[in-house]
Amino acid sequence: MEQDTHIVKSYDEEMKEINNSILDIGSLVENQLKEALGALKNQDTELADKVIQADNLIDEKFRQLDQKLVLILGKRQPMATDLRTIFSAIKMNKDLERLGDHSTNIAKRTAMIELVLPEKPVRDILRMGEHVRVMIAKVIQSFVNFSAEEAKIVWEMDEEIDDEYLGILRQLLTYMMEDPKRISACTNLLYMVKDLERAGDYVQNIAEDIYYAVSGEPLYNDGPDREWEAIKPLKKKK
Amino acid sequence: MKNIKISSKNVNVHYGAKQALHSVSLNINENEVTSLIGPSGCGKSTFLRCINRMNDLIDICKVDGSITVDNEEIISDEVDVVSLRSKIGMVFQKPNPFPKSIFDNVAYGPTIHGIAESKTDLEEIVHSSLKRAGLLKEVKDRLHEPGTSLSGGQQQRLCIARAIAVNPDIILMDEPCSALDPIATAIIEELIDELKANYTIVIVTHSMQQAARVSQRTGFFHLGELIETGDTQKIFTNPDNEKTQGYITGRFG
Repeated sequence: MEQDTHIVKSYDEEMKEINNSILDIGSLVENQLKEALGALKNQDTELADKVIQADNLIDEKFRQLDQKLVLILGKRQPMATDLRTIFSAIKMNKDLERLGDHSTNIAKRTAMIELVLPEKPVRDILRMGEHVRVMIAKVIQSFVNFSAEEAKIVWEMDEEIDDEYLGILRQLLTYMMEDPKRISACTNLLYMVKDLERAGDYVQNIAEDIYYAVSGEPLYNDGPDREWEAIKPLKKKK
Repeated sequence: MKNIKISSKNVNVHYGAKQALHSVSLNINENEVTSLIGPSGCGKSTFLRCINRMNDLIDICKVDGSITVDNEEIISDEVDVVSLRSKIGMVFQKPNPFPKSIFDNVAYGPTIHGIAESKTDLEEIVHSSLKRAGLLKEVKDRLHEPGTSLSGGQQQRLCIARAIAVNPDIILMDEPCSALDPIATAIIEELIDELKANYTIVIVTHSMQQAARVSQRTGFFHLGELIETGDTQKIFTNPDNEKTQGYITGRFG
């Protein structure tokens, strides 16, 4: 029994177009982060400006895919695996667009900063950023392979990103407490590290969407809020 | 846990030498809508017609196995088929009002089954049946006009009123909306939703979206076999069987 293709050929073509659009946006988003990190590494404001401009293209592709998804829902009234794939694609599209925004935010801060940045936290942020970039590449690959197992591996990787985030957060607080003159530079870095932490969360969301599209089962993160656990001791006692 | 209203076990149907159903076992819950889906010729209508013994009307048709309604066996020569059918109403693909007035269409069943004790009683049954079928407001001033003068959607609701006038427990619907426009279809679907509070409904439909909208449980038939049955939500988002998936996503049929 032929199960791979629809009886209506144009439905297959539309589904293929949606897959290709996700891959296209995914690769743009991965590149956006790569270049934002490059700009930070070399404090290259020209490259940072290029990244900021490139966000427009991601936004444009997001809007185009959004339209395609609405159209296919109305036209095909998808069921089962098609329904799950389209439902997940709607969410993935939005999350990829937000991922692009976070890379753009890093580039904006890089373009703004005219300060000497402390070396160690920058190095750590670049390493964390590279981990997020790898997560984006892997999550897109899991979509290409339509693999729930691969998506779950990426989903679990976010835990390391959260650990790195909390480590850098503590490091930056220490830097600021030791030398208030560093507050301005470190605040910018704080925003960047937060952008990367959020980017990791979006990749995790995308992994959940792919897992659901493939398996039909939800993948929920019902663990403790680790950031809250880490900063809770700092809360003032009444 | 819902009450099981209809239970079939190993039901086989033969039309002469050709086997149309292969060992179909299916439970149908009380006060729920169950959809039967599948490609043409898969046996879903044949199964529906087993429930009210309509297949008896076809000489070459032979049914074996067991079907119980309220735990009573109906596949037996001892069953009073007329009385069984008064418990189980049926609505067909094409609206088929009798060539009589709107009033007489609905009054026919209660009259032949001796349900109404007086003229007032009969009027009350006709009015309440038309009301439950969502048609009374539209026809109350023209009850003595022919049933065939109504629109297609109204005729189908007239047939539903006629079916419920004999106070059945179960309503069988064989593609009740396939001859109707989207608005008339929506009105019937809304009606099905309301009727399930008082009746157990089994509907055969070719529209996946209709099955998804109106039913709580769905059974998928293919080549005379019941391939998969389950909660409608599960069947249409994540069916277990590859054939179900292939059919509902339009990959084979």
